[in-house]
Amino acid sequence: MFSACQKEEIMLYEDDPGIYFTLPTYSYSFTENAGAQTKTIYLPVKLSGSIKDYDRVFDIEAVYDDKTTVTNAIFEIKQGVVPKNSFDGSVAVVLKRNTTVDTSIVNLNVKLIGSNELKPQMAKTLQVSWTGKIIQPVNWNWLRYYFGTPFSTGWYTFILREAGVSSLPYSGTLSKTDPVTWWMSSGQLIAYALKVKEALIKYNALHPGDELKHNDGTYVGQIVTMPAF
Amino acid sequence: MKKLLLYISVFISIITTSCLKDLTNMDLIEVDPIIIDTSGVAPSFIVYQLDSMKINLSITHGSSNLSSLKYKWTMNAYGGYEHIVGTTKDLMYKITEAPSTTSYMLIFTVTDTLTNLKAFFSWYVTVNAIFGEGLIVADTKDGINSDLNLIMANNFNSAKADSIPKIFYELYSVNNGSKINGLVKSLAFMNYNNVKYVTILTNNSILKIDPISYKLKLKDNELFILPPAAINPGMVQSIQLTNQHEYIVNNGKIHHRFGQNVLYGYTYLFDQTDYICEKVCGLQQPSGPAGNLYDEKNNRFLLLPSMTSSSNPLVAYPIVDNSVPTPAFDPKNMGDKTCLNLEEGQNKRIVAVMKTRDLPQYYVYQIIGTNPVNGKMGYSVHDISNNTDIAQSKFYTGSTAENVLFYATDTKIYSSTLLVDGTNVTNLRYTVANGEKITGMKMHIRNGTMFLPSLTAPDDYSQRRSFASANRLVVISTYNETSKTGKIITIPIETLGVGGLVIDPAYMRTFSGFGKITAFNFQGA
Repeated sequence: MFSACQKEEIMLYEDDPGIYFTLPTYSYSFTENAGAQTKTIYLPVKLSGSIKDYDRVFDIEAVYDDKTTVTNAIFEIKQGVVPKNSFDGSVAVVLKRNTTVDTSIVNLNVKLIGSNELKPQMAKTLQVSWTGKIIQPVNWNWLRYYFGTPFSTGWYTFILREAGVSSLPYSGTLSKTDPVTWWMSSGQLIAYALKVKEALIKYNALHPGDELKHNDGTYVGQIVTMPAF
Repeated sequence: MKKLLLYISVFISIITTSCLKDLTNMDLIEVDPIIIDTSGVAPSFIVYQLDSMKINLSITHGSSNLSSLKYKWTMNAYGGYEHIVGTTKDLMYKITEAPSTTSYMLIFTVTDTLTNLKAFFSWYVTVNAIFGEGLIVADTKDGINSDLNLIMANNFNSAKADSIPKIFYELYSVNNGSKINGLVKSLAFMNYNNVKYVTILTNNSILKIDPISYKLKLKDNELFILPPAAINPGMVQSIQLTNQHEYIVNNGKIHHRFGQNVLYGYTYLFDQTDYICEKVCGLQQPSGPAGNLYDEKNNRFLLLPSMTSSSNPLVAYPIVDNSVPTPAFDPKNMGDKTCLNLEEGQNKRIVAVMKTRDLPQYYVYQIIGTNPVNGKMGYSVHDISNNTDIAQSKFYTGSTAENVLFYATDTKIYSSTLLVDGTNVTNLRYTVANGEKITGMKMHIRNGTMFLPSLTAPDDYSQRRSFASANRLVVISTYNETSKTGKIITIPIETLGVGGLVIDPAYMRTFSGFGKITAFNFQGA
């Protein structure tokens, strides 16, 4: 009877917080800042679990598999942070530049290690690519609403030249963790897109029968069109 | 038994005592009432920020001495706001309350310090911004630089019932330390959720000022999300009645801003072919297209995109449909004509005054401005080439309340009825005083009131009728070269339908004290 009355602790839910990459790839081109020798990018992660009222750190590491084409001489991985009271975190990677970078696209696979407080979950790997050449920017998933889904280096070169900029740093998602890099507003992007659209109209009017076409990639040979936005 | 008798006697004594008449509360001293005499004082007030408010009252306190009275004036508002604004019998207060569409309650409390007896009286007080509704007048005194002035009068201000105008002169230079470089050619006020700006255009500059302080806030490239290729301003128009937005013509292109966006977006594009615009007309309450513009390069009208869009392109008018009922003209193909004036007319039609470029041929084209947008948008054409003095015409305007065009030469205003059969009847309606020249003309389209003669006793001004002045009041500016003075003159339309301007000068109003007026427009609340 006495044993039947023994106090039993109530089982409480215990959070098992984790983090995961929100992107499978992250690309950067030094054409965005021609004079720079390094660039610090911030790979975004998302928290699975409860927020805390203090910063939590985590680590990532390079994976030297057949997809990684660089040595640690041209990159530097920093410790990641999920800030207090936030579901979004990031980890900084310093990308460096050399002749190989300027003439090709180099790749680095990274893997989430996590920490005692943050376990890697789901999307644990991400491929970073960087180059001194024009490549599809990591925020094309946002730019495509204004410039069209098909990407080619010729079209992107046209966009940057006619907009008069070296990049269009607008991203509705990346700006959450790196607002310094992704500072452009949607209003500014629309204005640039209209400027490019105006230039495209003029180009095509001056080249009847030889309208601007995608010069490489999946859509090579297809006439460039811009959506209504 | 003895105890019982004792209890009975005690009980009787208690009963007896309790039945004694209590006379203590009848020992009263009659207190003299405090009477606040408000005769001659308005029941409510409409004031402007920084106005001085004076109220003189008569207080009586029976035969008692007034020296025992204490006074308190407070301005009160919803949410517990209470501001003591006076402690003497008469109020003399410089209004510092924030302008608000909700009235304050001014409460006067008199307290007898000897008896604590109180008396109250209250008034509703509406506080308007010091630079409130009115007419902004841009003028120049040296022919090189400009200044801004504000006329706050009942013609342009619905809250201002009195007939004494309040005119603020040289507001721009007083508040910015210098005049506007250049001559103002166009200006517009816009208010969206209390984000207010006045846009000022000179030949080579665009300024945005705060109409509360008249201080310069932004200039030229700062006004655009992307700086345009050149600052070459044309005109500015604000749409104030619905979904407040603004169009500006710069360097032959249209830019737009909507709502609380202060900056103009990139120029409106038109697919395939370029355009050059000098005149644009947004409809104040569109129920279809937002308005249109005239493309001087390709001699055609183009439709403005949705009023809330800064990114959609201009739209071509549909291919003309000449089936019965045949449209009057094809907005896509206007021939070798330039647009002199583009303005909203009756039933949301857009009225375009056009001239053949190298010939003295003048026309009025009206384009349907409502849905459906089809090949029958050309509503009417009036050839006004033979109208009196049309070749000397410089200014044009019209009302949405009638199908009439007003045109003005240097000295005269004519009305021209735009009859359905394509004919028109022209009448001289107004001639300026000797030595004066008209420098501008515009229909007032916003708040305010005006008076017209009584129908039964037109010569008796006391029996005048009051009307809203929107689309009923022609505003002109004049200049006397000899005296170097400019005026604003307002002339009500007495007979709608024929452009019958009032003849009796008692119903016109003149506001003077300006230099040469180069532009004017309403300032809203």
